[in-house]
Amino acid sequence: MSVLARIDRGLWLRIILSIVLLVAGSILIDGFATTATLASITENVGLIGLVAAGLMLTMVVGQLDIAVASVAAVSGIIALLAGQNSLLLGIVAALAAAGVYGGVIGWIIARTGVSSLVLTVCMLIGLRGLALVLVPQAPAILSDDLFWVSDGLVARIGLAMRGTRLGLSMYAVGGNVERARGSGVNTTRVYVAAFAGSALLAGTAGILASLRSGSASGTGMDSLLLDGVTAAVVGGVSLEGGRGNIINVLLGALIVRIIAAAVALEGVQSSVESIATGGVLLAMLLVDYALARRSGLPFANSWRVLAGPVRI
Amino acid sequence: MAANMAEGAGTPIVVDGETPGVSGRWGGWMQTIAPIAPIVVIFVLAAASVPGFVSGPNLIAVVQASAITGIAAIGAAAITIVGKFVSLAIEQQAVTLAYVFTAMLMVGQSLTAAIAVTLVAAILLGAVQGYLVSRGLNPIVATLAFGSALYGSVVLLSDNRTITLRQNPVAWLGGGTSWGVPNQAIVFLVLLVIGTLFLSRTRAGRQLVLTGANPKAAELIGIPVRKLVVIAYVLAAMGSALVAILVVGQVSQASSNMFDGLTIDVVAAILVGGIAIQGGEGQLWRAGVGALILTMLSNVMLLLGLDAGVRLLLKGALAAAVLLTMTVMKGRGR
Repeated sequence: MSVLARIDRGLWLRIILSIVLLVAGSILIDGFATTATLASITENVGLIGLVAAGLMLTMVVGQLDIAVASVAAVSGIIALLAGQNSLLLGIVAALAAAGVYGGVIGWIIARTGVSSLVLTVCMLIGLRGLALVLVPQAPAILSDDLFWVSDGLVARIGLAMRGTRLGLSMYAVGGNVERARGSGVNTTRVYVAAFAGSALLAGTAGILASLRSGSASGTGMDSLLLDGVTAAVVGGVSLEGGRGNIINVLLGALIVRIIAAAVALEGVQSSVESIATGGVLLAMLLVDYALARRSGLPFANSWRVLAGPVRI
Repeated sequence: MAANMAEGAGTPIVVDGETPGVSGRWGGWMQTIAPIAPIVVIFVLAAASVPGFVSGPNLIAVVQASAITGIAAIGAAAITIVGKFVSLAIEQQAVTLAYVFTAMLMVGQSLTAAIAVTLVAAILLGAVQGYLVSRGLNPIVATLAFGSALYGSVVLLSDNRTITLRQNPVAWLGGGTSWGVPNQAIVFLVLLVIGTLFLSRTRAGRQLVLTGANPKAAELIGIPVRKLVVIAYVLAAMGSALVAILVVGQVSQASSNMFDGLTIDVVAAILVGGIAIQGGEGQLWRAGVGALILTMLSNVMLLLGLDAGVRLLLKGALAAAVLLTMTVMKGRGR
């Protein structure tokens, strides 16, 4: 059981950590406390928060969607392609495609019991190809208020996770599938909702990112997967399933971005950033492991989907 | 394939490192043949429809192209067989090892020393990943993080420069041919045989298969499960080291993007070859077959003038199709 996720003080810990990091960064690093840096952090937290929130949905039900970055790329490209005449049409088309795709994946996983890791890796490969096939030419411009749409979306999902039957069923399924099924939860519906939600959120991130830059490419969003997983894990979502909430995930995204921005100012942008993100993720996994072992929990058994052999 | 495998419905799945239980000699035989069938079909179709496919240089190119993916996939298959799916750090560790190898040669070390250091580095990289995963960390997430940090470090340390060798002592291995066959392809085939023998004839190999099949049972009968997981990751890293040495031999340089897409190719080869991702069914040659199928497909599509995106899309679709077919078959067999 993920101990980090269980600590009730986790929320405060993350808030304090974010503030400490912000203050430390402003004092220690030249050029950190500028509007440009802060704006870039905010914007990236928005994008990564969306992806991480989607990953959280699949992680809560005890699965993992590896294809988020490819989904984001394809959605962004569809939005640009279909949105050449009307931006709204493009966005609707892209989201519809992402939602249907995610629903189908969730349904397949629920019906066949195939490992979500393995299936979504196949999807990662295929969708990356699709993105390369579709690569758009026409640039599009994003009006600023669309970022508020994304924040609204994340907030709504956060509320729905706690306040609706479906949301609560997700936690139940993640905690113990058999017990959830026994108590009358429609597990197929839960998986479909989780994967459709994940694809929708990743798709939204992809649309926003590609509208912002006016372009999208098949591999340009690869880093979203690592960033998203790191944000979710730092945000206390347990890979074991059944735990995680949206505020902590957003704080996780904030912490990850602050660290990345801070290191980026110190050296070569992309390489140092990937060291930092990878390092933070590994460190979090190890801390989680150490804490679980100290409290005597049978750690290896608790990683339900992922520690054991990956079952087809 | 579907009809053949459905014959096995109702029989329990026997895990013995050989063909899983499909009823009768026929079923077993068909299942062994099934992965090879696509190769034959693709080959015949390609020979009939694509001009230039059966030409000598093109066939050599196919085998050579599948050799690199194939060697990496044979190594990575150890991870799959031990039940941990796959490492997402394959291309990153291959790049790292290529840099290590080239750098050693650049500073004037002998070839033997360079190879030794590269292998030691590989063992180290594999052992770290294996240790993390053997403790129960999520294999995918842990290797994703490890690969990212590793790649970042290499790009940082090398200043993202391309190192070019003036004198290349391994050119004969990476680019040469023996009796008309590319040496890379020979290494690939030899490795396939060694790997298969290792899994079926040696104690460690059989333990690897059993660990993947049923980690709890393996632990109970005293098999050092954690050690075997580490060994599997070390084997995968050794495969990457070999790939690194071969490719450096071929192109005489190391650069940060020299292995772009290798991880995806390896995963696709393992999936298309049909090595059961749940582990415990150690049919290593399937990884090689998977690599061959994929390269042949890519080659045909390339000759037909399809672009990279379509090829990648088809790889993913094929991998998903094989995966789902196997899953549904197994479900019925139970």
